[in-house]
Amino acid sequence: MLLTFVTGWSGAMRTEADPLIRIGEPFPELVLPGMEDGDPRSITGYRGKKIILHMFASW
Amino acid sequence: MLGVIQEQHPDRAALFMQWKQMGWPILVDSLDLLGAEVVPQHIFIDEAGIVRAIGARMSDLEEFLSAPPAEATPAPKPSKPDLEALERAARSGKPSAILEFADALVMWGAPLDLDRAIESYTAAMRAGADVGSTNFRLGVAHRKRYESEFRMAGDFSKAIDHWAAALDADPNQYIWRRRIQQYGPRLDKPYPFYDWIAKARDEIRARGETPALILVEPGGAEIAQPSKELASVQSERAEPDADGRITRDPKNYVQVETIVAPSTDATQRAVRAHLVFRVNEKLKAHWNNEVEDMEVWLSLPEGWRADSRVQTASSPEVELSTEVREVEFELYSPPDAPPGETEIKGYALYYVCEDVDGVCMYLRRDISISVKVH
Repeated sequence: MLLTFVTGWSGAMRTEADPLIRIGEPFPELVLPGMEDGDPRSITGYRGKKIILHMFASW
Repeated sequence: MLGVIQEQHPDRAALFMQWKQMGWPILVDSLDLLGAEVVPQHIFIDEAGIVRAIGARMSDLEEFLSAPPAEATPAPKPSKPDLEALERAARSGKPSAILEFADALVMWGAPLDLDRAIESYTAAMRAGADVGSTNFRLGVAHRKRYESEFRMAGDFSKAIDHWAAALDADPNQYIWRRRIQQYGPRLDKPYPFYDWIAKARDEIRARGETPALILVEPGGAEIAQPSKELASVQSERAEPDADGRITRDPKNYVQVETIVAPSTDATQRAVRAHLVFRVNEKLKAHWNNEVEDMEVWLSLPEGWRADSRVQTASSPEVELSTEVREVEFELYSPPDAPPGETEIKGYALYYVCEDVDGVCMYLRRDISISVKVH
């Protein structure tokens, strides 16, 4: 987990006029397919745990 | 630890995860609904689902982890959206409702639903939806349909056009820029996108595992190395049909689709042309692999350059086959080229057979690649 954290970092999310993700506000309740099985998943579904969310691409 | 990927092809990310032995859950956001503009990126979210840091640094981690737990309320179990209800809502004509329906069709519908998704995105745009993100999603839907059995002529080209329109609306959108660069000229590539796949498979097999399956094998631009110079290689071979004497394909035994991926930096004057060849299923046509490989030759206008004047699509080691063959060229316009469309001419030479026991022929197909000069 920490290895990815160190190598993965490259900058901050752009600040735009109306960003979907804002500090101090709930993470958007968006349902997305899981990579493994395509089943519906959401970040909010993991409520109750501290989450380190890694947004990345394999390229 | 959770992950979100913005890639068009989540199966490639699955292989990457297997290779790196990363085991945390990954959510797929190919449409970039979260609005990520850069990756990689870390976000801290507390127990109550509140965002505590965006673009978080290693130095922030200890403080985040040691913070007292926030009071959490139970979250509803995520479920697939009700497509019929979303369709009814979309009839209101509100751009947001139309977009929501289109997004759901792309993410949760069957491949055939991509037709309605594309119609809905187009309708959303007409109704005033955001030009940038809607064009990006339209591009994703077209590329997805291109890779499905319901592919329609021009899908790949339209994907590129919509991604270019999206980037034009917001040139700071890194995710959108990368989607074009994935298929674009080497001059514009920040890195080879998927060249790691061969190494990953080798290392996974060496561990005694079976590599995760990739549905659309990356090739050409997707694995090409970046270049800082215009590549221009002269072929020492003479053009095989300069006089145009080889018989033109009389029945469209082979169909060709031409896609031009531009550079995201117009000053580079570079494009990457993708030529996709398919044998005609209705005529039960087959490639004849007992002879020479298929070749594609280009005739360049004055001042234009290409990374190669000829490209070859190698044949599999079977007598007959029906695979899709792809050939790619990089084309560079001269500095004084007038703005507008320029047609680059060329031709393909191939051996094709009519049905499995039918007549085999050596044929030529003329090609025209339309390149937009800015």
